[in-house]
Amino acid sequence: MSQTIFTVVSPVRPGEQGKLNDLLVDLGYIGPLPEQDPFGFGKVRTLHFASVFLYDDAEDGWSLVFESNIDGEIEAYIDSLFAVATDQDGGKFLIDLYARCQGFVGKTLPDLKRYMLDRVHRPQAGYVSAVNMTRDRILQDAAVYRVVDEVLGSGAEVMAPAEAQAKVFEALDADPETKDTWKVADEGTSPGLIRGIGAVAEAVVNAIGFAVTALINLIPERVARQDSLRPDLDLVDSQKQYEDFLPTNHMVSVVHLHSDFGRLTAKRCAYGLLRALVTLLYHKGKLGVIETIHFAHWVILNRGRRLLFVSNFGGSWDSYLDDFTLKSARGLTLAWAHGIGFPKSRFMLLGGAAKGPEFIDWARRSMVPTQVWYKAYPGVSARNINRNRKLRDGLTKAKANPSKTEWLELV
Amino acid sequence: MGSEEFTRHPDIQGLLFRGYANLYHAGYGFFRIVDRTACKFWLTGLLDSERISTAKDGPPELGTQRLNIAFAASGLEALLGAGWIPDSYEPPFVEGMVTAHRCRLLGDVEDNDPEHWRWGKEQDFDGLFMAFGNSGDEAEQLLADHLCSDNGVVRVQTVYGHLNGHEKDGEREAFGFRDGISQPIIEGTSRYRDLPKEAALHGVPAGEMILGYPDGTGKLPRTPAVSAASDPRGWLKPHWEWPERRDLGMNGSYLVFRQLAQDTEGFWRYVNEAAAGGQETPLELAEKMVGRRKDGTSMEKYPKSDKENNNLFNFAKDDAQGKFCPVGSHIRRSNPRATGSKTEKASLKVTLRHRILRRGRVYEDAELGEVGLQFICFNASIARQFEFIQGSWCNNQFFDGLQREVDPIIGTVRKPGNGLDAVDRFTIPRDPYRRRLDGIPTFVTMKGGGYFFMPGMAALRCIATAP
Ligand code: HEM
Repeated sequence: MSQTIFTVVSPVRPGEQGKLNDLLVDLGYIGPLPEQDPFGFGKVRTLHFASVFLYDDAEDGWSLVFESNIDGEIEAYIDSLFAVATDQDGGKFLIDLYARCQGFVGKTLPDLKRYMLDRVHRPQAGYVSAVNMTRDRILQDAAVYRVVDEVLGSGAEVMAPAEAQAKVFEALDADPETKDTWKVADEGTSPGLIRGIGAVAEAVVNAIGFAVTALINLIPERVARQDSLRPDLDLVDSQKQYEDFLPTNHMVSVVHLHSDFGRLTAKRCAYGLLRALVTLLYHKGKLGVIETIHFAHWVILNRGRRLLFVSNFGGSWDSYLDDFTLKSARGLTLAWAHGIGFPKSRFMLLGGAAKGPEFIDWARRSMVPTQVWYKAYPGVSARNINRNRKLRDGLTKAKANPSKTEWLELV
Repeated sequence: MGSEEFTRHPDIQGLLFRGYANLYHAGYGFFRIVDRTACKFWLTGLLDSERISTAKDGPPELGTQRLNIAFAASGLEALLGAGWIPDSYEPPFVEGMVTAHRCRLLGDVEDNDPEHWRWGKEQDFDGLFMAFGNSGDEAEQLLADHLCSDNGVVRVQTVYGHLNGHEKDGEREAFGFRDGISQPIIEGTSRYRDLPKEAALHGVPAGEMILGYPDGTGKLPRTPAVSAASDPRGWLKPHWEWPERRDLGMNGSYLVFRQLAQDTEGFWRYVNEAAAGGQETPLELAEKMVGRRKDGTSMEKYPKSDKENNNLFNFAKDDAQGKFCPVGSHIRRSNPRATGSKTEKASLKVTLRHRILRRGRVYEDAELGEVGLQFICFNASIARQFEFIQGSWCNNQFFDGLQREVDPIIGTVRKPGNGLDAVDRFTIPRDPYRRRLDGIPTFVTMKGGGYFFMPGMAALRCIATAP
């Protein structure tokens, strides 16, 4: 099953943002899942990551954003979320929350569902590391890894590969958590022929569009003012107070865009290109050479004036930005060029994010804190998921052909 | 630059280029400034009498002494007064080593929580005065002579360090391993020119370690500024970013100090117990944890018998899986070199943005019955270099695809909690499958430390005379 990334963006009633902020922070969702889980995230089996946060815009005022990274389709997910809510408190928590948003006058969960579906934004471009892996699959694979790891033990006494393999099979068949799941074949990550051809066409069209518009925009791009301000120390502190409680972190950035027609068109082409590249090339757990991101996406909001970026990644923010600037500066420049104040770029590909510290400061200044963050598997990194997936694959192959003991290297 | 003389630069403090191998004993005095005027008078005196050692002095002869000085943010603020521009410094330096977030990042939690430090939890010092001599008494005498109320300063903490080397054997840290082998090689030094093969792996532009020179991006690193009013005598050059201000950072470097106690008994007991009944000897397990042999030779596929030639390996081609030097070992986490055969060049370039120049010494405190390392390192950016190594590499339980483990030497073990398993393992890749160590205790614990800036000599003059 393929995954879906989306946000619901709702304008906050004037004057309510402060109360919303306090209310959300007090729920205590930043570290591990709180015992009281009023959103019910922990009980929704199709949910990988979710977050709730606020940002403000000079023209449009404050917005409440509800970000979700899920298996399958949006409506089914909202149905399961609301089913949990119904069980928990009849939906009171969610309805009260959204009562602070403009345009929501309903009293029931079906009203809220309509309200949210009307405000869904699908990303301009998004990235998923574990393509086609459901949350259940990820947790099942983690259990397979655990069982295999336990059988191999410390390895002080070395078993012969065949013996180890036989013991592992036996344990996997015996463990209630793994006995039905470890032999399930993998869906694979290939986009398939039809989507593949579509993506190639998308790549070609957008590459042409991009080449033309990037050229046309070269002058505004070069004269745009770069903003080299250092982020305020207290701003950074206010953000860092939510970081590094777990080895996985969350980042929200809301950038101001140069939103004239020419540059916005160039941006849309750039995202079309990124989208196609992700489908065609980056479906094997690596975004370029970056292997720490679970889910990330870009979406243009506020009638083209704001660019929202949300990412769920492993390791510290510093190492994340380091990966960005040292390993994939071009991709980032493609994604963020024409952001107001962005480090000077050329053709939306050169310069920009490659200017390490300047980009890092710019990124910091664009961030807003995450008030609520849910993660289904905080102790597993994107690379661990990939490894576990390969392990299951290797074990299935070995089951068919016992001489294939190479999976032993993966544990 | 590029001159023969870079390691003899008269404006750079001596400790940057040298570990003072002939001066066995060091005293590190952490001081507070109680009288600004007297302190400035003392600093001026030190400079006039050329007591602060510069790189120009070269390697010290036996029987001589060396002094160096560095300041915490509060110290520079006190001495520069109105000329102190906090935004121009690196944020970690201004904030200090102890903030809630920084502790999470650096692994200063659980056993290493500042609550358990012996000193420095409040970061209540303005500067660090370092004295090097031939005996502990001599070092202590130097500290006592200088850090006194006549000079406007009081000592709030003292720790000592010494070298532990032997002519043939090299430096040994407290677990008994050879230390001080792998260091970055600074462009423009004779080492850089004479050792082209090593320089290809360890060479960094001077600006990675010393402010005022281009760094790995080819541009000048950010550098502290003072207002022009603070430098009426014109000791300093104009600041490159804000030409109306002056460059206080030139020829200076950020200094990180951490006193790290080592549980040597616990370490060897642990590897002895872990080795019982297995193929590996206790020594082999210990060596796998460090990532080098005890005698300092490398764990690479083709170990050189030549001990002087033991730093030419990387992990891209010969040891991608870590079957020689484990992926999670201390030296591989703290310097991953080049990894991945396809990304060899790019990954090395990334790594070279995260090198540090180590100048630590071992210590032995008979009264406390404690041994360990007075860890000192220099870097142009604490966040990008020291903190990155300590936090994003050594204490990252997801480092390079690993899980539930941190650096087995300097990582902070985590108890289970927060919905997560314990983080206390170490994986040793091997045929036909890995060896795994479990339940590793924390062997290295933090006792105190801080962030400092060690200015160049002209900058010291400015600090001493700023109105
Ligand atoms: C008591 C604590 C520590 C002990 C016992 C220790 C021990 C060692 C040893 C035995 C080596 C190999 C010798 C060499 O290459 O010089 C080494 C290398 C190194 N250590 Fe540590 N260390 C400690 C703390 C630290 C800390 C706190 C850091 C920085 C965060 C650090 C960073 C490094 C680096 C960068 C290398 C060189 C790696 C390379 O380039 O191959 N060490 N350490």
